[in-house]
Amino acid sequence: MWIATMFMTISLLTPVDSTLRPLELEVYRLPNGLTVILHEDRSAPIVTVDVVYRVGSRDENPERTGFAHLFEHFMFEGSPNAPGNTFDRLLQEAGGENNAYTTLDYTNYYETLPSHQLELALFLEADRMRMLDFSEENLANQRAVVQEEYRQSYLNRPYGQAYLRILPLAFRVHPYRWPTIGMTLDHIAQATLDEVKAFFFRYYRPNNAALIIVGDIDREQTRKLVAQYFGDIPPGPEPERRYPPEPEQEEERTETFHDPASPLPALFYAYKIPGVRHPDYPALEFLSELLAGGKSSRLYRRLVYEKQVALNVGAYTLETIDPGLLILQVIAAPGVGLEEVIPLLEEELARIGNHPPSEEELERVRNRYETQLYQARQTTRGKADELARTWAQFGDPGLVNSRPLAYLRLRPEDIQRAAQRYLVPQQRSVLRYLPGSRGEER
Amino acid sequence: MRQLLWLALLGLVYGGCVPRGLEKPESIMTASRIPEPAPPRPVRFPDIHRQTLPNGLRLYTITQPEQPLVHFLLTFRGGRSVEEPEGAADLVAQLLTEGTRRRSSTELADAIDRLGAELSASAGWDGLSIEASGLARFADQLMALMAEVALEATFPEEELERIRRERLGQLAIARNQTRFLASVATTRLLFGPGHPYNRVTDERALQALRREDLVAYHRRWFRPDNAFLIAAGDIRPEEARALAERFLGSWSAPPDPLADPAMPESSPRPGLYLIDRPGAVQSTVRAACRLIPASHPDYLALQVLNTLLGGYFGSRLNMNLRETRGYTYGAGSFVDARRWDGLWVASADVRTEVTDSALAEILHEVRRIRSEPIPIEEHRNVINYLAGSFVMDLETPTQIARLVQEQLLRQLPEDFFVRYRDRVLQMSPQELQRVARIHLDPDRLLLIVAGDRERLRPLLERIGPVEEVDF
Repeated sequence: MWIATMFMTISLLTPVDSTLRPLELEVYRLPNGLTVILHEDRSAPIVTVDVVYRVGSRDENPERTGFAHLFEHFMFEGSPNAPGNTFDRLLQEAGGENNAYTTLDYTNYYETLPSHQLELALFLEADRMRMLDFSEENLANQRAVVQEEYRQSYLNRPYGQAYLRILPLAFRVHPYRWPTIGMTLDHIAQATLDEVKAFFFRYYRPNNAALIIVGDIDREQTRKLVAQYFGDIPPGPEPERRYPPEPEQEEERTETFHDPASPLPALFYAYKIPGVRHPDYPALEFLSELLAGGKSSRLYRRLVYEKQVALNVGAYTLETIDPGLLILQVIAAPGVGLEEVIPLLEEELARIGNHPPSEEELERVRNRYETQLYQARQTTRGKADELARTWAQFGDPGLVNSRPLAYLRLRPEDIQRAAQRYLVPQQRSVLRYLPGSRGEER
Repeated sequence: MRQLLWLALLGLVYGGCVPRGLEKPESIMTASRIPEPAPPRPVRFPDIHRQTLPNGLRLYTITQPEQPLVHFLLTFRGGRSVEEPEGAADLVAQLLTEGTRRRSSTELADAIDRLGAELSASAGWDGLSIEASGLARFADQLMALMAEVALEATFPEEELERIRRERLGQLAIARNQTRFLASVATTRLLFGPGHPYNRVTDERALQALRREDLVAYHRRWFRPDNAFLIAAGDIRPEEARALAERFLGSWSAPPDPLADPAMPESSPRPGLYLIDRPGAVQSTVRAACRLIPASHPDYLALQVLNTLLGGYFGSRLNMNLRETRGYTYGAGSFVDARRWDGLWVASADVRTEVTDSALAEILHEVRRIRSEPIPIEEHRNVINYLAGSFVMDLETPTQIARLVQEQLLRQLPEDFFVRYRDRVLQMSPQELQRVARIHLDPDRLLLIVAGDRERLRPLLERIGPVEEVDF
């Protein structure tokens, strides 16, 4: 039993005061290829049912960017045994909450509901995995809704267009060059019903999905219900996954963008980094945290607190399967120009490459990581999401129990090495986001 | 994302408990295929352990050790409703963690971050609270730090200046967001001069605040007989008590009594108000009115009514404006009933050219809920949704702590959440319509639009006279 082995590994190898508790999992596949992941947690009469499909915006036709996300909306527009708005209506009446999101690599659907209603969620998810109501009217409506989402979340929000500019600057070949919402509103407007159908039969087959059930369940009974509802959904051919690799970046790229809705200048540095499966990835996540996570992080302390040249700072990694980005962002303080920010930022970036972080700094990042891990695991939804992500990114949900150790065991030299290797100017794209009339200049 | 996170955006819709079966879902079209629910497991509001320290501080403990985390929540009654001058409570909260008699701002940040913990304070309408949360193995350090910022904050002059500049910068960004502009206008227009809920920490308030204002607020309202402490998570009541006595036990209350805020008589002026945001590609539209305080007997019925009208994905407003017409990514409404007064707001971000139509549809839905009987199926859907989803509001110790805080701050009956689920299931369609007719008068609504004035004026003038405002 690998679970027992895992317990031992933990007691031997984690830092002495860690209280990591593994999630006990049951993982199997149905004959049609659907991966099933069960985790029993009887602490509250709640269950989360999550279905994750291995398809994201990287799988889109470059002429139809934003399609995977538009399709996500279409999944709620009705299926043969749950037509119209039946999906929402029945879940609501059962006291359930549901939602979905699309990333660059995968698309995740979930509902959380009182546990005695588990079968309803399985029925609904199976019905829409089997077949959808492909109607022009539904597509037209969701095209309109998604265009409003685009306006609300990107165009009408200060700094909302930064992401839309950074991706095509950093990537020229790989499909990460466009965002999940789509490169332009036109692509969404042009999506056709035939394309929706083709996408469904290519990517929304059981062999390309995992069903995750977390919460107050009887496992034997649950296995039976899963077989009953999902067992006879026909599989499809294995979708082809070939993404043109991004050529190595050899020099810094810079773009200046003007947005009248963003009154303070901002600076975005996007560094090329490997994907989540690469052994250096955990160190890069900790590096982001060390730079800009919390008030005692290096960039916050220096730029926001001491020198007061920045209103805020942020650092995060894109969490992609293929090589992605580590993005640093700084919004300048009122009355401060980017030329005052840049030298200080460069100094801090050089410092992390020249000296490893102190033991204390690393302890801070480690404790924060551990706290956030447990916070997410307080809910069935949080645990299901972690399992869905882990399966979609790594193919092995069991990594939820071993992967945290890769983070907790990081040494100061690992962080320094990651900084030296990846925070290099030739590998970065710089977006200067300035107030003033709309437009771009290179 | 397929839909906005309604709970985060619109304010929580709370539920109660007690075992009782949900009605089984029925669908006319597909009744035969839809599975029957299993027998429900009982839902019970968790036990809250209550005790009082010798200095009068009340302590509530929610023991739930599933994850090795603790959450402390120390709340002082009053909050923004008693702040003087405007913005004082807001900045007291922010400055609490910026320096104490023992530690500077950076030393505090280091001490908290070292534990991987969160320590923050925020000023709500009826209370100001300090929260500390982190790994259970650091419970004593967390309580010590929380007590230190609560009792020994020094409000350093130079930190106030820094925060003032920071907040002004944030305001400059927020002023470009139509949603922010509409929200400020709602507060200013609904509550008249001198009303305890007419507060915005805007540029003028930020410029005027002095250190002495913060010190005075802190001295007046931070006292054990005006506070309560909630400990939740992997902690037992006796552990919580020992920590509270050690770090908050020697704190004592001054003899002078505390007064409630004054409530001036005022009624908002209905009309169509426009706030300009040049170049906006969407408008924020709102319909708003004053409502009741949370202790009013109609509060729960209004919560249920609001859910049906705009409080969940299947609500009338969202189905109409989003699913039928495609005007918006999401439309909804919320009831915000506080200790002394309340408000109701319907809201959506819509593309500029349909702004007038969106307002017309919101008004249509308010009229319709008063004039047409509520269909039985829709009524059943909404009460089952609220009663069923309540169990998800009790999933984490932090969520339960917030419900306890809510009940205490808004002076809800002590058994409000215990009885909630039963009361929701018994709420009749006639009762919902009765409260709609009393409290949601379409002729008394304030219509508030923030967006591109040049394009909006001709559209809005079709509805009626437009008053331009700027707050």
